[in-house]
Amino acid sequence: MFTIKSNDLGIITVEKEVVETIAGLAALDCYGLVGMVPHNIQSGITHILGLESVRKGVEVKNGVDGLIVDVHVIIGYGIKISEVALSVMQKVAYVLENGAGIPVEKVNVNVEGIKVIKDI
Amino acid sequence: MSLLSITGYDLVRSIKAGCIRLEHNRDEVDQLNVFPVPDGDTGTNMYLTLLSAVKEGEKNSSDSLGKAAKAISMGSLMGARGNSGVILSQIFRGFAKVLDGKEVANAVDLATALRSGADTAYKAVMKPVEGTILTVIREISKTCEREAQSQSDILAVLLAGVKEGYRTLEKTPSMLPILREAGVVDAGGRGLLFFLEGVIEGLAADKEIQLDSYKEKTVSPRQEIRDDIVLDFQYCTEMLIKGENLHPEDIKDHLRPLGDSMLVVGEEEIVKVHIHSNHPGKVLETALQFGQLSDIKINNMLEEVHENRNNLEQNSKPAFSKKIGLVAVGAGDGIISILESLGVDFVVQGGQSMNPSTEDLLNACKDVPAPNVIILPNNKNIIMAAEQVKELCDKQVAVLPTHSVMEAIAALIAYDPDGELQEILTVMQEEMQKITYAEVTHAVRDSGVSGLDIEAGNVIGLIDGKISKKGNSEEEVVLALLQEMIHEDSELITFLYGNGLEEAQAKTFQEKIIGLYPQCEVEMHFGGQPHYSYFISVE
Repeated sequence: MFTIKSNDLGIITVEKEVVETIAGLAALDCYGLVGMVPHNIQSGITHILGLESVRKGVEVKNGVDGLIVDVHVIIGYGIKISEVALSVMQKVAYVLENGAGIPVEKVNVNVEGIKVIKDI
Repeated sequence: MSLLSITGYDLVRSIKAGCIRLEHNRDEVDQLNVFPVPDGDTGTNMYLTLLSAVKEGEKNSSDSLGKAAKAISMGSLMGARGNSGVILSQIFRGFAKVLDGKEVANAVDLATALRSGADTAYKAVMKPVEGTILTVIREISKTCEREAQSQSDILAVLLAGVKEGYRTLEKTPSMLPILREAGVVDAGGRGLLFFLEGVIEGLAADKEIQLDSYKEKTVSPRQEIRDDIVLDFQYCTEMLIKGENLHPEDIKDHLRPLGDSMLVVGEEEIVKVHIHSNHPGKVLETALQFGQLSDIKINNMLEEVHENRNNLEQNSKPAFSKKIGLVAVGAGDGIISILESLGVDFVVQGGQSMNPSTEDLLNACKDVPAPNVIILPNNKNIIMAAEQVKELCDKQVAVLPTHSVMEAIAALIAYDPDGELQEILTVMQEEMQKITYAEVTHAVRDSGVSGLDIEAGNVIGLIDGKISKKGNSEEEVVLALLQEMIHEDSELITFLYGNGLEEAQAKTFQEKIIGLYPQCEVEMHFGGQPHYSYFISVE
C-alpha cells in the first residue's frame, strides 16, 4: 500500500496491485514489446502473461523520491533493445506520474527474453 | 517522363534526400510530439535513425538494390532512437525483406515492399494504437499497392501514397484523443510524410524529372481555421502569493480542480500561480487562504483568440497592387507569354473548341491583385461567359469583347494599370478596332460558306471571324488574305504561328512577305496556338 497524498483533508493510498497493473499496462503499450513475464520465476519456463495478469511482471517498492519499479519483459527479435527499454522506462514513468499522480524514482527494465515475431 | 525502376544507388540517394528533408523540418515534428510521451523529440529521433540508415546504405550503394535495402535496414536498426525511430527501423526491415535478392525494383515491387514494411511494423506491438505513424504508413502502403496495379511510374505511385498519407494524418486527431486534446496531428506520421516527400523529391531530382508535372496531385490539404473555438477554460488567471511556509505542491492541490494549464512555482515566501479557469474569483479566494495576493492578472482568452483571428483575417485580405487588372483567355505557350508580357495578370487556358467556364474566369478575377478587372475573352463564344462574371464577382469587372487574341494584343497597348476603368476601356476599344485580324486553319468537314465550296482538309482563311478564303496550302491562303486586308495606309503586319509550324518555316515565310509588302513592317512571333496555323493582324 502506497500513500500518494496526505494533507489536512485526509490520506489517499493506492494498493500495490493497482500500481503494478498500471505500470504493466503502460509497458505493454510500448512499441517492440512482446509481453511481460512473471518476475518470481527466475529459472525454468517463462510464459508470457495475459492482459489480466500483467501485474505479475511488475515489482514496485518505495524509494527515496518515489517508487522504484521493476518490469520484466520480452522483446521482439530484430528491434533495438536499448530503445525499446528506454521507451518502456519513459512510458511507465510518464503514466504513473501524470496519470496516477504517483512520483517515480526509477524504472528498471529487465529483458527476460526475446521472441521471433512471426514472418509475414 | 516517368520513372519505371530504381537501383540500389537510387534508393540510398533518395533515402538520403528524405533524411535531409526531415532534418529541415524536425523542429516542427518535435513540437507536435505528444504521444506516447510528450518529450518533444520525435523529429530528432527519426532524423537520427535515418542518418544511421543512410550511413550504412552509402557503404553499400553500389551493390544490388536488395543489398542496399538490407544495409539501410541494418543501419536503421542499429541507429534506432526513440519509439518512432524503432518503428521506422521495423518498416525498413519489412521493406528490405521483400526487396532481398533484387537488382532493381519497379513500382509494384516498391509498393509490395512498403506494405511489408507496414505489416512488419504492426507485428512488433501487442496493442497497436490507431492514429499513429503505424496508421499512416499502413494507409500509404495500401494506396501505393493499389496505384501500382494501374500505373508503372514510381513517382506517381509514391505521390498518390503521400497524398493518402496526408489525408490519414489529418484524421489522426479523431482516432487518438490525446492528439485531439492537444490539437495536433501525430508527430511520427508527420515526420514520415516529410521523409517520403524528400524521397520523392530526391528521386525526381536525380532523374531530372520535373515534379511540377505531377503538381495537381500533390496539393496538400490546406489547414482551415475552425470557426467554433471551444475553450474549456476561459480566463487566464495569474498572481503572486506572498506568505510564510508556502508549499507550491499544497497550493497546486487546492487549485487543480478549478482549471487546467496550471503552473505553481516558488519558494516558501512567494509563489507564482498561473491557471486557466472559468472561475477566477474562486481561484483568488482559494489563493487568499495561503497569503497575500499581488500582481493579479485576469485575461479573457476568448477575446484574445477572436482578436488574433480578426488580425489574421485583415492581414490575409489581398493587398491590391494596382487599380486595374487584366484577365485574358488564350491557348498556346507563346500566346500566354506574349499576353503576360503585355501586362495580363491571369491567362485562363482556353479558346476555340475549349471554352473556359464562367467559374474559371471568376476564379481568375478573384486572384487578380486589383479591385477592377478587365476580361479579354479573345473568342466570340467566350464573351457571354465573361459577361456573366460581371454579376458574380464582387469586384468591378468589365469585358472588352475581343474576338481574337490579335485584337487583345492591339488593345493592350492602351492598357494602363492605374487609369480609370471606363476611360481605359474606351481607349482599348479604339485600339482594338484599328486592326483587321485573320486566322488560318484547316477545315474539319465539307461545307459551303460565303460562296466557297470547302472540303475537309482545305486550308481556310477567316477575316474578322468570317471564312473568306480557301486554298490547298497555308501560304496560298495567307497571301490571299493579305491582299484583301492590306490597304495603302497599312503599316504593320503581325503573325503568330502555331499548330506545329516550325520556326524556320515561319521565318522563311516572313522574308517572303517582307519582299511582297516592302512598305509594311512584318513581325513573326511564336504563338503555339492549337488548330490555327497563323493568327494575323494588319494595322
